Amino acid sequence: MKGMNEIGAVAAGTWHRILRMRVVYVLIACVLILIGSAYRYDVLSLGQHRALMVDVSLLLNTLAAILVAISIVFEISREFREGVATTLLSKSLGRTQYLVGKLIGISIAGVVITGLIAIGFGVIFATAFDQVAKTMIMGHLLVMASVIPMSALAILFAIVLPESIAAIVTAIVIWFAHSATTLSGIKIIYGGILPDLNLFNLKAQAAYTYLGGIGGQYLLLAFLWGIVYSIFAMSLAGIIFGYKDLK
Amino acid sequence: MENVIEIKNLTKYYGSFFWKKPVPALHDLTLDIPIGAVFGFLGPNGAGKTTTIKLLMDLIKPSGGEASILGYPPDNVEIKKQIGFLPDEPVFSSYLSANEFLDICARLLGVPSRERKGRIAEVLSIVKMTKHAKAKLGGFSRGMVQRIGIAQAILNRPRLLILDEPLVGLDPHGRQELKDIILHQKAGGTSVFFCSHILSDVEKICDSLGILYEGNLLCAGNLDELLQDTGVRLHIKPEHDKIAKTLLSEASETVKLPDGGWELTFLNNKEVKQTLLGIKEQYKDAVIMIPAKENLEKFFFRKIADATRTN
Amino acid sequence: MKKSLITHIIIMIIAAVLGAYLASLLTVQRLEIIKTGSQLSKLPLGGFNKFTSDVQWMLFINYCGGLSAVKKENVGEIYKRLNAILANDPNHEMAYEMGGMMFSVRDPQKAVEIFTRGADNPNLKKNWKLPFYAGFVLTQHLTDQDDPERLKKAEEMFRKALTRDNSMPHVFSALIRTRAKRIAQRKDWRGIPIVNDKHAYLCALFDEWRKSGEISGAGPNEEVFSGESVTVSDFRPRILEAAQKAKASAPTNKYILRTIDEVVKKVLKDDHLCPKCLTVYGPGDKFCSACGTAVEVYGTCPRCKAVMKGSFCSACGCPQKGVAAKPAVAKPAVAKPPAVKPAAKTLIIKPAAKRVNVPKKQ
Repeated sequence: MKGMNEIGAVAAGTWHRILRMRVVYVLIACVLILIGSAYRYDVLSLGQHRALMVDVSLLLNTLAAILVAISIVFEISREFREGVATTLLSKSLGRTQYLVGKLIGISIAGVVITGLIAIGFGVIFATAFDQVAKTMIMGHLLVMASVIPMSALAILFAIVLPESIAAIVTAIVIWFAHSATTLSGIKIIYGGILPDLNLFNLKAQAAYTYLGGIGGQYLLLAFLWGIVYSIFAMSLAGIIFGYKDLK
Repeated sequence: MENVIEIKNLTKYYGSFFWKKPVPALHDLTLDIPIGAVFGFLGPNGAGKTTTIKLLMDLIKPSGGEASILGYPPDNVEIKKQIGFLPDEPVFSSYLSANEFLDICARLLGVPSRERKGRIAEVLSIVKMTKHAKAKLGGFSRGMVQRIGIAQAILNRPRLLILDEPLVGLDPHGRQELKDIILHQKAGGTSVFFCSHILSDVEKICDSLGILYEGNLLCAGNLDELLQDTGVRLHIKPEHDKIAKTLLSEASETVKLPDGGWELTFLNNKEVKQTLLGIKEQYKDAVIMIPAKENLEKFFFRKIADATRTN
Repeated sequence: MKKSLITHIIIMIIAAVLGAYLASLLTVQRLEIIKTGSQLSKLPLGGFNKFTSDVQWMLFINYCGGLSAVKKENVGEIYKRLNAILANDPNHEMAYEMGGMMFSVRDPQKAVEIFTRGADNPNLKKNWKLPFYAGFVLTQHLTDQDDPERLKKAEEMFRKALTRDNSMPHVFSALIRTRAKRIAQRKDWRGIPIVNDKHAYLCALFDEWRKSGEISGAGPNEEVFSGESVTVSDFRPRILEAAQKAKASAPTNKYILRTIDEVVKKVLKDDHLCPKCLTVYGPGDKFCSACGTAVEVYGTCPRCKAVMKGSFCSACGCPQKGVAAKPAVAKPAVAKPPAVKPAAKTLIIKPAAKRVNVPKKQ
């Protein structure tokens, strides 16, 4: 497909950069230690440490996904500031292609990082308790899928706002997009224009396996929504970026 | 298509938001650069040279006017496959090795995958960076980064090479190498558009130039034409001080030579020219008249000084 | 307008509409999955409600661990903390159980409210303890235990507990006691005036037997039950004992006798009972071993009158006619309640509503 090679080049550059950072693996190790430490809370939680471990893993994985998404704000702003973006965009690369490449790159990096955390959790949980239930895997897969729309939001704000403000605004928007369940009744706007990241939040279902399963269809639809919302955000970002002057 | 670059009334204002007063950076620039030319774009800091280049590369959007590059508008993505560009103060992804960075550039420039490796090795060899191919860009000096910048600019065998201050950061040896690269590119049929502050180098490699001052184009054209007829130089042999003294007040520049002779330079002036012809007639071999060609540095400063006075 | 701008705008609009459509589909599916969405706190916790509740739970345990007892002064604080936990995690089983237990003595109303909330949670429909505890507190800890509304509520709760997995037989006992109280309060059972508590108890048991038959779809006289439900394996001894006690309480009361007659005809129709004391007697017995009343003999050889032990008479070889003698274990029922063989008949309480398959708790 036309332009895919260029998008792939930008994406590869982005995920290589993130996945080559040693600090990422140190953080993953810290996250896994924290997940494992939930096992020691058996007395303090009156035997609820099993659900606690699942919940802590999902919480930390979500935070990792948010951090990865926000990191793209700094990545893009740095590329603008230092002129790396200028070099790239002086080549046969459209501005929207650049943004899409960044989104794909950061999404792949995010999926790898959250995937490593999920696998680490699986190993810890299986060692501490028993086999990992399907709902737990589904819970983590939803968190992994949430990286895509969160990154799209981060890119949108990185284009519109200055670096530090963009990071703060992204964090706030992601937080409220996970919280504003009361808005879910507003059709078209919520989920279409405003992001509904709560769709990826079924942490209680994963923690309490007796609550019922998360179907593959739901996961697929949520993933699809993430893609569609990202297309919306990228189109908007592309329009704005199309008029933006670069350093 | 006769020109690689055609600019018509190109204007750019910065910060033209409703709460900010727009700052003019380029005003009504009209310029054509013919195919095969090596065009030097000169001007003091803040003249609008980089702005012009960014407008041509579609990195910034014009406030008015239009430009075409290789016959297409600057926002045409495909045409950039035929352009090589070196930005001002290039910064590349520090975590990448030279090879990796050039590989990304080659992909973005549409270099076929089977040719990529060979072409990267070739350009690294041209810029004398082969032994640093696997080193991370983050550890490179300013000059090394500049060399990599040049390498990525010529990676796609461009039809047009746009260089923004390419000589900055290079040692004398590097500057000479770059000049050779530019001349080599020119010999290969590539048109070159570049801006620089190092006038002596520009003079050596350019066949045409333009001078920009505060967003306005002061002059543009073939270098020989621009520097032609700037005056006459009169060489007076020793022991003819009398002749020199009569002309000192008219001369724009006077130099007493070590052998006791004089060298006087006169600007183009019909009356002065007549006087000088009379003296030549009178003293024959005691004086030698040479058409004076102003050097680029002087031409540049004179143009800037004139523009400053006019403003 | 430039072509690329128009393309971007069109893509953006299509994505927004499609995104909104998908989100509305997902919202419905999500609510179906979580079931308790309406109970969830509206606080903007970034989707970390469950984790917040985990932290609150541990703080709650820490707080409660520091208390010498649940007193009037700290009831409010405990309730507030518990509510905060349950608002962020309406599926926290242990919070319902432990919280309700803590209030059961000091503030039974709150205990009932918490247990009921848990019992009504569609995600906790496998938990039989929560409705049982709610019914238990309603019938045992509240001062006005005979309030009809409370009894009605308690009965509902016990019945709910009985329909859930792994429910215990004592839940059935509690249900029958509560039902008997209600019948006694009404003083009427299907047109028969209620004479005393024992009569009411018998009626309650009979009602339950009828109901289980109706629910099974096989009619009240059938005993074909299957599926997930609570097995009350000693139902027949229980109803027999209840009938005996009812009769002993008013041996000549016509209403009690009418009820007993109906119970014997329908529930205990295969048993041979002494018409006076309702003690089960064995094959070949001519008199009741408990009260000496003459009883109708059964299970003997039609030729030599010896007790039949198999298909043929062991005394004269005469083949048996009809059904082989039913073995029965009978005990005198004067002082102690009689009992029939437990496995003979089993009452299985089935849930009224259609069951939803929910994966078993791991």
